[in-house]
Amino acid sequence: MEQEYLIDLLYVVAFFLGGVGFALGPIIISLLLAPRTRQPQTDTLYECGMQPIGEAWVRFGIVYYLYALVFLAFAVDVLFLFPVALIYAQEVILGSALLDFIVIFLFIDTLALAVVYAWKKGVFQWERRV
Amino acid sequence: MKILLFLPELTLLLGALVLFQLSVAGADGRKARLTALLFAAGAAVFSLVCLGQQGTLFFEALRMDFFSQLVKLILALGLVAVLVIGRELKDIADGVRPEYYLFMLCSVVGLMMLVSSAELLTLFMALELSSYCLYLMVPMRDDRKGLRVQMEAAVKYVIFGVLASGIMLFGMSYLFALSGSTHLPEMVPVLAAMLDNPAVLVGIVMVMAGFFYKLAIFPFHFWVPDVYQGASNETTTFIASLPKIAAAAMLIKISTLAAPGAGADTLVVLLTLLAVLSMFYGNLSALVQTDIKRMLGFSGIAHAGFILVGVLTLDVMGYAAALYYATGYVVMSLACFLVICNVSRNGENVQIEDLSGLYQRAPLLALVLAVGLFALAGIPPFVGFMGKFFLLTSALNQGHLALVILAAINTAIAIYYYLSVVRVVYTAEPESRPAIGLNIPTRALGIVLVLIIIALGVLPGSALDTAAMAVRSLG
Repeated sequence: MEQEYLIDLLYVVAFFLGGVGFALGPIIISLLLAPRTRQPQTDTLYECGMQPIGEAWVRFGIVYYLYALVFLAFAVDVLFLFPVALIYAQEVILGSALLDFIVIFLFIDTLALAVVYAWKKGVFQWERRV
Repeated sequence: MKILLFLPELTLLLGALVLFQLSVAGADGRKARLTALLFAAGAAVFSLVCLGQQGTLFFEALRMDFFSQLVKLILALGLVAVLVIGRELKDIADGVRPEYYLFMLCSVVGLMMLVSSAELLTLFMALELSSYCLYLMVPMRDDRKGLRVQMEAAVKYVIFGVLASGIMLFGMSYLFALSGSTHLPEMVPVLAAMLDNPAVLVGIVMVMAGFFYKLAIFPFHFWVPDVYQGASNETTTFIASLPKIAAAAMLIKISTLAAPGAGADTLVVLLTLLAVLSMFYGNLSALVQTDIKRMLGFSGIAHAGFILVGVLTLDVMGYAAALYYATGYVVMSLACFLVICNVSRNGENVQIEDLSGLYQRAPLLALVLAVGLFALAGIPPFVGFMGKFFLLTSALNQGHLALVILAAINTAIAIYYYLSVVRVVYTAEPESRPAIGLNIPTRALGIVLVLIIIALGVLPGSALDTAAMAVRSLG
């Protein structure tokens, strides 16, 4: 019992040290290997290797915001489908396979209504809104 | 037949779907109103038919007993009344009316599921369903002065609501951790056995906080005046009536988790404190209001304190009195808001002085308002008096003498501001204010509300027995 506990603890410590190593390693390696030069690019913003174009203080079209909202209608709700997907093939949840299918279909269908609404209200028309 | 248990909710959900279709098809407000009224009336009829049905649904997440069926019936009837009162929706743009009614029906579905929920997560979902619809209905008011008061009201409503929900979820996590279940029937015996554990009481109080918010009990009351003032008159009618009875019903249901005993004393002391603070805060603030919706908002805080008096007795008669009083409060506030919605010409807020000479401009409205305010003030023979009487008697039976005295003092304070409105209605000159024409459904509803207020007050016995029967069915 006692030994098992110690071994478990050892695993935790090992993984912790591994994690710290992974975090510190790149910094140390780059300190050792990186060329010590100073160029105009050194002082620019780092944007995943892309050349920055203009400033960050630009105005975005509000159209993006509406798209993001419609995206949200699905992004969160997909999470609720994972538990269903895990057990759907193995067991019958609500008494019969048909009933299960109908219920899940209704769930997704209700989500789809959100998109129908956005579509009918003209969210997908690309025009400038003030 | 299990479907009978869920028939009123299904009717309203179907109505919501039809309204969705109408909204997508771009229908006008009239069609939407007729649809909403049709399905609300259907739901009311079905709730009456299914009043005796009992059973559980959805893996025992919903438990329909006489208590929930009774509250569902009151909610459905209240919805019909709200739709009749708001038949013109003067301050809501025609283009968004289908959505407005859609949210109203969904909110009532949420409230109906709330009162029949027997499982913590279902309870939370139902509460959020009803709340989110209300959050959306508040900013739908037309922006008449460019001040965006409706946005301010909505933002305050959402922020305080989310705070209350957060506290409630935290409390639920305590109760779940201590009892190992989220089903209320399984939690009651486990929690009752360890009521001397402070964590249980903290959990119960935090779960109650969500309903304190809905009912506007003292530390959760901040949203009331601004939301009442910022939302359109029709929206305020809804916010001020239906959620209150659902919240009162849920407070009763949650407090059955804490059976009277050694450990419950702390809970009773806390609830007493909240009740007294709500009453004093509400009544003293209402004294200085000039906007009648704000005044009714503050008076609602005081009445919530009275409902809490019934809950904190922790016995059947107290619960029954609280349910009776909450029902009475719904009818009384509907009567007052019926008048406000009709006096307001273009949907603007009504100041108390706008009611000057209402007696000459619209005698029926003046009568309805007078009866409503007399009842709210607690003057016999109206329902407000009998409700307060039963609440205070049951509190006295449990030995809360100081609370009863303070509540009686509050009744005296409240009489002043209610009756000064009645004075304006009956004695002030109308000056240049025009007469108000009423259509037949509004007239009928006004008379029905007055009759209910009087009937509940004169013959309280059977109503109270029904309430007591409902509370016992929670058992």
